[in-house]
Amino acid sequence: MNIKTKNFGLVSYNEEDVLYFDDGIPGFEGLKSFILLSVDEYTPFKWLQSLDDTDIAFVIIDPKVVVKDYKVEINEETVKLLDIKDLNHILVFAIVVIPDEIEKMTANLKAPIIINAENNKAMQILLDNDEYMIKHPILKELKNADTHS
Amino acid sequence: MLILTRKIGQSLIIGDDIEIKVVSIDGENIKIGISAPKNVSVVRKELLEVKDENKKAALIDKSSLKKLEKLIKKD
Repeated sequence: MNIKTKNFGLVSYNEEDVLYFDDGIPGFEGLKSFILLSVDEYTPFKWLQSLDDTDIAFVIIDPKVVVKDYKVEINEETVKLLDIKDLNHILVFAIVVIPDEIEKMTANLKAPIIINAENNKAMQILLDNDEYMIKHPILKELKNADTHS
Repeated sequence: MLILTRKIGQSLIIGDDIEIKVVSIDGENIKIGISAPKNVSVVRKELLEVKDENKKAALIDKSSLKKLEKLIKKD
């Protein structure tokens, strides 16, 4: 299948790659279907592209690139909602905000995107602990990270 | 801000039909039960901030992409 996206032009994807956010994403409650896009030039960033509104895409990053020992606590509610059977099949991403001054870009480590790779159900959760910030500056970490691995 | 002291199991009533109950306390974590009419939205305060942040994140366009690409190449 193909969609025409605002940022990447025509993109093709398979039905089995579609991620289902049953409740949408906070602020975008109506957007339920997304795909993950990887573009080599942008490693370590990836894109979460909406299929419902092809103008909407989020830049995302593996939070471990930002904080090496980043950990999420998946609560019972999330286990139920995403029908999680095995925590090893969970993918975790942080949404990145890129302001005009790109040096001030931040990642939302407090509210990660959780994907159950076994059934492609996904949601954005809000962590209870105060360890991680909604606006975590990431420029320094990016410079230290090996972006080619 | 009005400040009241409550014990576990005790409640507050706001207006006619909103009840806030202290369910349990475990160290720094306090479990709160809320009964409110369906049309009253109850969310954790941080969720509003997450919403705003998501809206900002979605504003990404070609010019920010170019800047990002440049930044990655520099590294």
